[in-house]
Amino acid sequence: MSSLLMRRLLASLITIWAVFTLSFFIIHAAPGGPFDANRDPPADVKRAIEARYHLDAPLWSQYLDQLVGWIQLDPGPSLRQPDHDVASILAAGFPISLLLGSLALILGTTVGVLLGILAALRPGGVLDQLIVVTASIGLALPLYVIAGLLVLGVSFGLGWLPPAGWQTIPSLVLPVLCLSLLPAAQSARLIRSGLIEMSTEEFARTARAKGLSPFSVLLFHCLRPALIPLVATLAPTAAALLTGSLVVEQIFAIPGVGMHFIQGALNRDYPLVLGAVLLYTVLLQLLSLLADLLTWILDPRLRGEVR
Amino acid sequence: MSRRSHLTSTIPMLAFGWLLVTVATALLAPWLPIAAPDAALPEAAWSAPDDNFLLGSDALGRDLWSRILWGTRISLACAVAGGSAALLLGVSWGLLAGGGSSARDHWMMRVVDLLDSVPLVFLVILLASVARNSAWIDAGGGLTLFFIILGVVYWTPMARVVRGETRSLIRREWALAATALGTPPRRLLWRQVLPNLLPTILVTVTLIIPRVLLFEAFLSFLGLGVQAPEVSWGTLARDAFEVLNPVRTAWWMVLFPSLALAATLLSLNIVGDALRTALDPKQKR
Repeated sequence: MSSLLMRRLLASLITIWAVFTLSFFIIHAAPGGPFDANRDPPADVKRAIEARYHLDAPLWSQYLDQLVGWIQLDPGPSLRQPDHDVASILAAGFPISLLLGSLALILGTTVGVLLGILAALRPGGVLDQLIVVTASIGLALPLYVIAGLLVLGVSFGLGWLPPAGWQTIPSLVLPVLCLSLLPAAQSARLIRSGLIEMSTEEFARTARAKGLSPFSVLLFHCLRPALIPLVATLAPTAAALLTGSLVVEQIFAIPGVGMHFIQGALNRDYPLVLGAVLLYTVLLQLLSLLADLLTWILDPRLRGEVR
Repeated sequence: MSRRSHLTSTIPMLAFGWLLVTVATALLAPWLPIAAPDAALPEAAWSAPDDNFLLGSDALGRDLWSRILWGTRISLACAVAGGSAALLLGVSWGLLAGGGSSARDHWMMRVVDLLDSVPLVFLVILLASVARNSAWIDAGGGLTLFFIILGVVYWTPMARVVRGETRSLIRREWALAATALGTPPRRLLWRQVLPNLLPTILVTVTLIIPRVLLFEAFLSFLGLGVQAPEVSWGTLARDAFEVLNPVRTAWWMVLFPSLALAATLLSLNIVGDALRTALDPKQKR
């Protein structure tokens, strides 16, 4: 097990390093610098700015500088907000995004699993068809369409919830709801098909033959193996949540990492953008590692294979 | 239900009809009797849908109906770009990997694995931000770059599917017989394996195209995809959200572009599902 874990960790580190290197060279391959949008400053001022941000050093030394800086978690100043460094901007946004994302993940997965169980109770029934169709529509539509309609209807039409912000609980309802739709739809589908498949297995038939009710067979015998694909898709779900948070934070004006990321991208604030990309990459790698560990815990069949 | 009836039942036919209308709109937009999409009438800004403006007008008094029809062009062009990259790059990559030596298969699929393990969405946003305002983009290269990006992101699922199918087809008796009769490997792959892959390829394309459309809408919505003065469904939604406030609710600017995109995405999914059921005899239900 530990050698497998080491190999997974190494692969993650290589992926993160590859993303850093690729991002660095994409940024430096760009024609023009970050100061092009302004009127040309006098030559000596420009030189001073470039020296301040080390833009005048040779490429390889900038690369090494930044790599070392990032490893020490000290990526240096932002290009657009000189009073703040990248680390503090990201650190300020991260708790907000984390709160939003984890609330959405918990809410979405819980609701999704419940709906999946409800649907699997009577496959082909009215409730099942309703849940399946709703889930497919939820997966097919872009987030901003759903969010836009919700804001129009619930905030402006009915005036029930604030259309933006994050500091009060009512203002968190809509963003969390929007963001949780995707994990809800996905887990409802996975749990439903997993339960239906498991209930045709021999162990389920044996349990029913012993006289257990179909409901308790579904809940106590079939649910655990049906959870495995859900855990295995944790990493892609998290990736979808992260991209979704970019849209949701934009729509509801929530100052999380996603908003800084998009603002940075629109302003060409490279250090900030690079920081956000790396933060997301590290997060995704951690989550996929976690998903592997959880699968291993849930599925005893895997433990025999891994030494 | 018989296999044919999956294709001809009402809902898939409606969805297919909507897709036909959308494609026709995209092709015919310049000749349709509508206002120019960039013709601004400042005195008619913010009109709700009425006789003059079928679907209302935006902050500059531009006709939303005409902008949605013109937006179809770029949104569908993105779908075509992503779809054809999947067809050309994905199919040939998968075919060459699946039909080659195991060493070649190994390194070709490692490339796909690597691409899939990297969070491409974020790198694409980085790339889009780097490309902003550069001279090349100002000269009109932005859309080309955008199409290339869509292609690069979405060919890997196709490569995986095709590679898997190729490996299993190439072990069938008829493939062995063809090899025994002296068919060169390349001819076997392109003339005999490839035609057998067509249903799989078709179904995979119908899965990829909605994702490309979603991605276009996502990037354009964030302001990093299609740039003004070009119009797509994503940029229309962005325009709408920028002016969305409780004092002046321009609900039509949010609603109609969203509906156009939603109807198209749902139709693509429905048609894709129907095709999959009709073409795949192994499908359980």
